[in-house]
Amino acid sequence: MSDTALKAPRNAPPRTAAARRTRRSAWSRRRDRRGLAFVAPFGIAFTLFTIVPLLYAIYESLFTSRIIGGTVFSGFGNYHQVLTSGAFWGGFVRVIVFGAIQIPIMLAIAFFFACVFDLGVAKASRLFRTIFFIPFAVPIVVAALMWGFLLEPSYGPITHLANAFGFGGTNFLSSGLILPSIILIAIWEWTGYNSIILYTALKSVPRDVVEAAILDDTPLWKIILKIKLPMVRPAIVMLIFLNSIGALQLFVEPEILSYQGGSITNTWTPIVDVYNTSIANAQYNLGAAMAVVLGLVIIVVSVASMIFRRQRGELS
Amino acid sequence: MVSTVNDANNSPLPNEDLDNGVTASSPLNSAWAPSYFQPDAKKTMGNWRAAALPQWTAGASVSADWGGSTYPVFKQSAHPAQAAEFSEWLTANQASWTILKTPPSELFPTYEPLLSDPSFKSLTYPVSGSSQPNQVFTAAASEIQPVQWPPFMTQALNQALTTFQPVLSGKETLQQAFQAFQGQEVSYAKAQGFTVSTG
Repeated sequence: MSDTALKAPRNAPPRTAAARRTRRSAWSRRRDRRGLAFVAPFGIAFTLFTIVPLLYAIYESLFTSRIIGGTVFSGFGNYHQVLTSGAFWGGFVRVIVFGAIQIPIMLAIAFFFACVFDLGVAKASRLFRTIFFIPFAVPIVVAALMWGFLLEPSYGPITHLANAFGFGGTNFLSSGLILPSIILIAIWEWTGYNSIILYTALKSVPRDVVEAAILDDTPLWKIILKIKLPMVRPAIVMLIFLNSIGALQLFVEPEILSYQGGSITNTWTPIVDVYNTSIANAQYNLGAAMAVVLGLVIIVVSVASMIFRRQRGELS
Repeated sequence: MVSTVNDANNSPLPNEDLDNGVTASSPLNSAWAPSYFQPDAKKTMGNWRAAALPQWTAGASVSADWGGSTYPVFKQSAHPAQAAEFSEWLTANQASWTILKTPPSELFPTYEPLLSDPSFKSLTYPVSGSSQPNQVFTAAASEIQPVQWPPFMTQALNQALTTFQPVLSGKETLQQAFQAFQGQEVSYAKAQGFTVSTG
């Protein structure tokens, strides 16, 4: 009671409990609408460019369109073809191998540089942080073209370098070396970005924990590996899942390099397959079914990551 | 298609190697290729000569088309009739070919009156000195057998890139790759609703 009395001058308190309820709910309704206005721009774009295309892809995937015979409803026929396509799942295996090699190497390098910057031992660390981040700002198409030139079998400077070191006749774009080459390109592109996220995570490690360890004469490597690494583990787990989803969608690098020497087959990764099926083969419906299957796999990975992180208390 | 430095022909770095004698001095190429090579030819300017393709069977005179463009009229066109007329004029008209055969286009004609025109056959180019390369090219053009292209050429070209890759890396013979290609094209044609008869 005294509470109401105190607030009286400012809030002109309602006389009855019922009136108070109406007022409050009216106020909260208004607040909800205001919130809606704030999320509307995102909501509209998200609906137009994610939800609608998604539903459209699902709709398209249920039909079959032919040069002779036109478009007919084919139910799950396209899905049957996708699920039994050895080439499509071969592409899946390839991106899993790609991710299993690329992600750990990249995260190790990113963590190393994040630690160097975090320790503050490097001179001009702000400059170097920017330099390491630059590859992320280069469009992937440009990066792939640039690396395609660097690794080119007859004129590429890196090929010349390999020849000079005695690896004569090395073809980085041959079917045997194309996967390692793309792993190299992806590491170059994404290490800086991952390193910045890890650097930010390292910055949030409480100073007193590190100070206590220093007072206890803990060696530096132990501080990094036994104190800092476990404390940024949530960030690393998040990056593993984000990069895995990215790996499943590997497309631009192989697509650009496919014009150089042809060791990229038209089913090299799931998205390369989707692209060639839909565009070159003009089988939009089959491509849509592939995209839906790929989307479902990514949803499974995303949900698994949520459950995993929630169980560990890393996500509220 | 994206053209990259690895294109086997018709781009500056390979052209430079040709000019310097690093790569084979007798490239197999098309009648339109010299116009791409000419700007990069420095040391060898004027030294090039055109010759007929070597033949598998002695005495034969087999030739083939390399490249080619089409000028289609799209369904969305606001003026389809006029566009079709322009396309016809562009490809089959003395006036348009007078423009197209000269720099910077230097297209090789598909227009028969020009192909048989003595003044076209006797043209000389800086890259080939005093020789008359069009004598060779027009003769070859008259040998080409008509080809029936598939109604899904984009698919066929795209599939070919993958199917013939093992030939380049030495894992398959051309015969094996062609056999696989035949199977792929037949099953694609059937999936597209065509009735396929092979023989």
